[in-house]
Amino acid sequence: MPTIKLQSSDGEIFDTDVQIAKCSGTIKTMLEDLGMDEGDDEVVPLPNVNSAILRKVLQWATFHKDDPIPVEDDDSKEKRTDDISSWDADFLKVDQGTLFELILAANYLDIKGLLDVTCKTVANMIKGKTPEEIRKTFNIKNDFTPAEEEQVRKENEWCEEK
Amino acid sequence: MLRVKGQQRQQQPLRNSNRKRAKRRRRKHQLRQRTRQRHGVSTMKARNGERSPSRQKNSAKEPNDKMMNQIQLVRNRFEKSCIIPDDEISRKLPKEILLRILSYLDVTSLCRCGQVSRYWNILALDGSNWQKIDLFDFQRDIEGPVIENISQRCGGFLKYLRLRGCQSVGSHSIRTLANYCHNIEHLDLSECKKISDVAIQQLSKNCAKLTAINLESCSQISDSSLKALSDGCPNLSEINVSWCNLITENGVEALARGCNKIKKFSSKGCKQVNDRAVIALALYCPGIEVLNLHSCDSITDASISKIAEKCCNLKQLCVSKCTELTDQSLTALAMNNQYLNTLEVAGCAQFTDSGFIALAKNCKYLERMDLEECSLITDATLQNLALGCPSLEKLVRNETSVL
Repeated sequence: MPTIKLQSSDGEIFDTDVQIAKCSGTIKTMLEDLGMDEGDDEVVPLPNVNSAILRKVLQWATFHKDDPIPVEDDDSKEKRTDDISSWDADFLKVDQGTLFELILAANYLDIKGLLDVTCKTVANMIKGKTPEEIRKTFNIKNDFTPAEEEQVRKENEWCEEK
Repeated sequence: MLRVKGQQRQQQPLRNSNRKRAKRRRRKHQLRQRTRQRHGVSTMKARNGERSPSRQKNSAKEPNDKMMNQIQLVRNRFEKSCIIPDDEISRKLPKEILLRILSYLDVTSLCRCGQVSRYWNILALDGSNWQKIDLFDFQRDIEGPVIENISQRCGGFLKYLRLRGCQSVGSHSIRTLANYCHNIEHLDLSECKKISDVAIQQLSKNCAKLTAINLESCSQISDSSLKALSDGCPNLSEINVSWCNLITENGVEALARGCNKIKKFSSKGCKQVNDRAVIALALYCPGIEVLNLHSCDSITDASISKIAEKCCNLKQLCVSKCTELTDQSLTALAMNNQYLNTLEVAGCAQFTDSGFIALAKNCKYLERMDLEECSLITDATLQNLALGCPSLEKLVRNETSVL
């Protein structure tokens, strides 16, 4: 099976199955634009992804290599967040820092499936929480003045009294 | 008097936006810094304008100022004072990714995010999160200012808004909506009983992209709303004016003349929608696929024959309680509308077997029929329908019998 070499920001080389690497839109385009042939011994540098994250990304891509090509977002449809597979849920049981790095890597590498599932995971960390609980979850400082906070609360109270 | 006033209002924003556009063109290549300065200055103006009525008067005299105010109101009030905080999520993830995350949230979660911090307020209120809003679940709590607030935060992003049953929402709020949300395509105002013609007139002036509007049970709505929609919303393809008792043939005819793309039209219970109205729809809107004339009881075979003849794509028709209709209507449908899949004729007591037999021969895609209280029909109708319409799933006859 043809492979290519991916180089992480900290210099580690990952020998990767071409098919798996190509689930990244960025790598796919790079290979096509540069006319890199499979079997070429050239190295694809990925300066925005460190080895720990790249390892995770490739682990995800390997598991999902036979997934159907993701469809474009349809704005008219309600977006779901309750459709994360149990494998993905387990895979994403990581600390917040790693989760954010995975999001950034998925974004940079243009891997829609991974970007969707990581963003959904963060969305699920927000859903159903009060403003204070959201602050606690992400360690966010409340920088409203008391007057501003009161005003913002008033403006949004309609969504609470169901 | 009122109308003159309305026209002035219409022109002003137009002129403003032209000037604004020209201004923008002139400034296109200027430095970003200067742009920022300009926003800074206009923030002050907007705030002052909001507070003191005398200033507002001044700014009304100067159209550019007024426009600036509008734009400024759309911008988030915390944008100026907010620096990106140094917690991990805000520092690591760029704004577009945070917005992508928020795009998965429901209305309540978004409103709570808006109360977390200044930066999250900016994120949560970003118009991109508010393209499609359904406030049906909150109908009892929605007061006018909420709609005005939402209109401002959404601006041109808003495409879909459902306010079904939000009975406290009045014309003023809808006018504000019309002023900010020019790109709205789908608006459901059903049972917003306080809404009157002025609201729809303003919508028609500003929202040319409107394709679907639901005014069911907005009992103050009259022909002048339909005339306004006819003038301003040529892309309208769905309209529901059911139970708007003031609507007459004149309104419907005007609407049909201006909005030739109508595919769905519903005027249940509008007693003043008569043959002239329906014939106008048939003539000007040949693309009609769904037509509901429930209880428009003055219409006759002339209406349905014209609809059948002109609207070849008709798929769903309800003429229940249109008691004047006879087999002639059914024969006309049978001759022209082979794609008909739903036909509701409850209470059309003049229909007989011969009409339905003709239908069963030609409309083989029929799926649903309501024949309740069609007292003249016999088993012959049912047998023929069973043979001729293999897709028929649901047939209501005399309350409960289902084929």
